[in-house]
Amino acid sequence: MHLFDTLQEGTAFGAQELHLSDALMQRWTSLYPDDPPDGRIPAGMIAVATMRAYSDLVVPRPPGNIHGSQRYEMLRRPAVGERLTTRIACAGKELKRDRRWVHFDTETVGEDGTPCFRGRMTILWAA
Amino acid sequence: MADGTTTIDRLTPVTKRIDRAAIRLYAELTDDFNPIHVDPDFAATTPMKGIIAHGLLSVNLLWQSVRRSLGEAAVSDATLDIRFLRPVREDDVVTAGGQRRVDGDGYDVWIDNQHGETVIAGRIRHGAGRAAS
Repeated sequence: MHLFDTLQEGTAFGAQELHLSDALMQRWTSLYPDDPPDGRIPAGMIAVATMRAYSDLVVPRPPGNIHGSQRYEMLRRPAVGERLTTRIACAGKELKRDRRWVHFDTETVGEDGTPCFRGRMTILWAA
Repeated sequence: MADGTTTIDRLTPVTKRIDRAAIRLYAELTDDFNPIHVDPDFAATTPMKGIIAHGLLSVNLLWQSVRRSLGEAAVSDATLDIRFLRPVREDDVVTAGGQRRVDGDGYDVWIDNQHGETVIAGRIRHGAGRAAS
């Protein structure tokens, strides 16, 4: 279990691949039918790549963590059909007013290694 | 639709009801099955006193608002920086919008719920403007 006390700044949790398949796009547009199909992923799908990396690689986590803030730097919108790779690492932690905050950095690259987007998420850690 | 270089004062609002089906589908899309989002019994025991939606579920409405208002380029080369201020609960109706900053350096953006409470707030910057951050 990744507890606040044991999480360490700089810890890399590995990489997660995401295929931007037609099936994935169909599921996305079933939730957001207004996102226009232009051959590239809607900007909000950044979250699919980054949250899957967090959900699948930073495990196990205490139940009940809460997302506190998020920064996304969009460098290019990947094309439907691409395979993305997202890396996630602990960027630090801090205790403020008895609340445990943990920061994670993500970087997502395309098949050719060029960056697509970067993120910094801050999570209120439950334990 | 405007191109990415257009400046307007106010972003087009985008609204969505966040129901349980939407929360469940977002959990599947992101592999985020945190029980605070999908387990009513667990969520009832937390300080939130019930299920809350994933914060990022609503954030797509911000991207949609920016795209509709400023064009595709405005979402393909941008930095979005937001804080989650209040929980979005099941069946909340949230509306995303934004206002051009007085200093011209991007837009202040927000998402409000049906009670007029701001649940998410932040800023989006584009192109060269974000280099100063």
